[in-house]
Amino acid sequence: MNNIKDTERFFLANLIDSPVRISTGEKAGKVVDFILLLGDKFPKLSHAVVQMEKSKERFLVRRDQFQNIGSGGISLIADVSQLSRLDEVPDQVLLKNIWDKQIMDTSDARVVRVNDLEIAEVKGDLRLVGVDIGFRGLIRRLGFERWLCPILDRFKVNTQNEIISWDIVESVPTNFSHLKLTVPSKLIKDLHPADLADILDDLSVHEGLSLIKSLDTETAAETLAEAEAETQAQIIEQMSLERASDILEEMEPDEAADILQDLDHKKADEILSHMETEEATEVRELLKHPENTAGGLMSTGFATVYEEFTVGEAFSHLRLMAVDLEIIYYLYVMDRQEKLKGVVSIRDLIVANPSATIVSIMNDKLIFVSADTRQEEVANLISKYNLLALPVLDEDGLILGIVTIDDVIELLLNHMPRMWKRRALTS
Amino acid sequence: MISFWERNKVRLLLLLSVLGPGLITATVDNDSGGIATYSLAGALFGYDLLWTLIPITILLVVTMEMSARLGAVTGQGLADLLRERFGVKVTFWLLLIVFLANFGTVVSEFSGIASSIDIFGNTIGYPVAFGWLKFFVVPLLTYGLWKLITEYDYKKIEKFFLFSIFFYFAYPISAYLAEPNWGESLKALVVPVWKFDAAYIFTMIGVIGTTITPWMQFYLQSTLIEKGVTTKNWQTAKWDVILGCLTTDVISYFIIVACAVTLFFNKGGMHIPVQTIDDIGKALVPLAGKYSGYLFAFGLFNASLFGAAILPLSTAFAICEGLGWERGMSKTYEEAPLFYWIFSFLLISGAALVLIPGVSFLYLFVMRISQVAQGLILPPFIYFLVKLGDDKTLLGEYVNPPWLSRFSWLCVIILTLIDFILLGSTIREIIF
Repeated sequence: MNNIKDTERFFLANLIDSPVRISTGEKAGKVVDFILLLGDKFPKLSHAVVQMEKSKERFLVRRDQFQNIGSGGISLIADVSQLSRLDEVPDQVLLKNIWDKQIMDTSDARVVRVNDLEIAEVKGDLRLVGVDIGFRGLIRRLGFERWLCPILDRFKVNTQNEIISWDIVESVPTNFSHLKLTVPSKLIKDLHPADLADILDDLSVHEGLSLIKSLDTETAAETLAEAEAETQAQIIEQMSLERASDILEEMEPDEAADILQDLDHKKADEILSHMETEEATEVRELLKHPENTAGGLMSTGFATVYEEFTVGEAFSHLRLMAVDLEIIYYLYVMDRQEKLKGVVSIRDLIVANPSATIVSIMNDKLIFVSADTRQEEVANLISKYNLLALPVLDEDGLILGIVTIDDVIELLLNHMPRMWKRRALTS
Repeated sequence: MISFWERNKVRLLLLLSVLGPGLITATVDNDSGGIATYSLAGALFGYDLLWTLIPITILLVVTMEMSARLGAVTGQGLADLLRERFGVKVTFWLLLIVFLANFGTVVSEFSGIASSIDIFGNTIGYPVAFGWLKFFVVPLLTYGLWKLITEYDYKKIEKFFLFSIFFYFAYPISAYLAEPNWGESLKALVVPVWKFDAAYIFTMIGVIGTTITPWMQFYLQSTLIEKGVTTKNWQTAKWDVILGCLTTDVISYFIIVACAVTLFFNKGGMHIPVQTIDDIGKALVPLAGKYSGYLFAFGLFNASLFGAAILPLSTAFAICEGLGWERGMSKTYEEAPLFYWIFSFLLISGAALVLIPGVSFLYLFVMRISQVAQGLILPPFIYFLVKLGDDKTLLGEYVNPPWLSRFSWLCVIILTLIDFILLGSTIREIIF
């Protein structure tokens, strides 16, 4: 199996309808399908399904009952009377069922459609080794390969096969699919949530829902947080209240608030009432601010220290707090009335003498916004002053939350004219 | 009273939140080809084709509901479902005929735009100047549409279209201004008239083809999915679809009546020969006044523009979906080249064809023939649609109930028969 590169390969489209010859060399029928035994990395084709010319009956031919596979057909070694009929098959997978289905390409994190299947002969066994998703596979399936490909080649149209190895594809989880290829598996678990989110955006709501259901709550939360706003709302809306609230609890409050903002109020309230009180309160607080303002963007997890702390004390304080925080680039310095006095970056802390006071190293030229500042202005400030985060203050100078750079990066991208964005993304 | 409002407020809000797909789709239904076909149905046969509207409406509701239901339950587009259930060959050939018929329809949308400019020019009294103006306006509009669709958020464009639905009130107004005999027209709605005459059957298939089109089913299903309609909010979405179907045919009724009164039953009782769409405009002016000419031109322009914006996009989307190519305006050209090629080809060649000098006399013909083509491809398309709707493994409890299944199969048979009758009578006319 390691050297499958050297073996002979076939496309299913070329094998289907190829002639079946009996021992005298006479044509007796045609190949109509294969039986797939799932389980191996590259699953074995245990039988060919053939249809006899005269009787129109379908028979199963074990691998050791035929030879010479190829577009020229197969030759039976066994006598027709030794073959078992198709209706005696236990529930195995017919190979042709995989044609035209959607699959997940886990290496590129995308959903593609199967045009054809590639089969290899490895040590006498036929195995399913790849999925053809390319243009040529489509042409082959339509039966145009013989005349269309030479023409396209002449016009230098690329008609290469585009084959994905079978061991890196995953079936699309759906309630309606007949084909349960493998268990939602390690492949999926190993994907980065951002890649999973790409796949999620490609799937229909139902399929996406099944995908999310197969993940643990933490991965589900991370995946959903990375997905497009529309996908997020549609999926959360379809979930049970318990599951939805579990997932939202797992997210950063600002991300949870973003999603809830896109749902209708009744649904959002129901989900909130199912969430843990503490998380729900934070999210409710964030929901008070309109989506397109600093208040709508900000998150409430940030690190604070009091002005009389020394650098050493600040460090040990940070060590305690850091576990639960989204970002720790900045420590916000407050007086005992909780008013914001200045800001210290991690870099400032690292280079400072541990016994120095925070006040002596903090930056008191504060750049901040109020909760109702428009998001475009927030983005401008962050990019102008090269900040990683920006505090949001109320009228009394108390800190409400912070807007981080990754909250506005997406905004900057989305507000770019489409053509620029395309260039930026493709170059 | 207040409690009634309170009780229904939630329901009303729910309806508004999913309102759109059904109504928009149904409105695009009355595009240039629709207006031309209905106008001619009235102009050539008076009220004789009105009776077809009721069966057509029923068929429209049945098919639209079915594809909307398929979308809501499976979350997949129609082309996706066709591909998974019937394989690549069926999908390819179906999409090919849909593409050809839609290409004709895109040309017909641009014919509509060009015609409306001609009619406007005739009405205002400067036909030659407006004949030239067309050569600037059509490319400009095409460029504008291309730019609008590729660079801006499609959702915003859709909202604008939802607003433009109000322009369709032009037709009930023109019908009212034409002072028809309402009693007669309502009676004609329920009394069938049958003529074994190629022109009659041709127009009838045009009326069917312009009302029930495969591309609308593709479009409806994909917009429903995009809106996130699932079995949970299906009941509300269903009413949006049905409401849309009813609206479209009420408008059709008014178009037929308006044209029947002014062109078929006009005062002297003399039938005005209608050869080009211009003739309809010209005929309307002396009979129903200058404003009805403007109104007609404006309505036609609006409808055609609406169709020209949606059709290339939805066709490209369906083809790429069925053949498994990257698609959608959220993808870049590098990611989805074929999508952009198909879309741009349809839009640009549609516009270019109507600007070939000297073809303006063909506009009406193109508008009619494209609708007849849509009618001719309908039977195979509905055959597969009903098969999907009957598929219990696909739809579960939402599968077609037995009565609906039987009724749908009856419709497929009748539509196929009508197609063959058209072919038969056309051949007969050519030979004899």
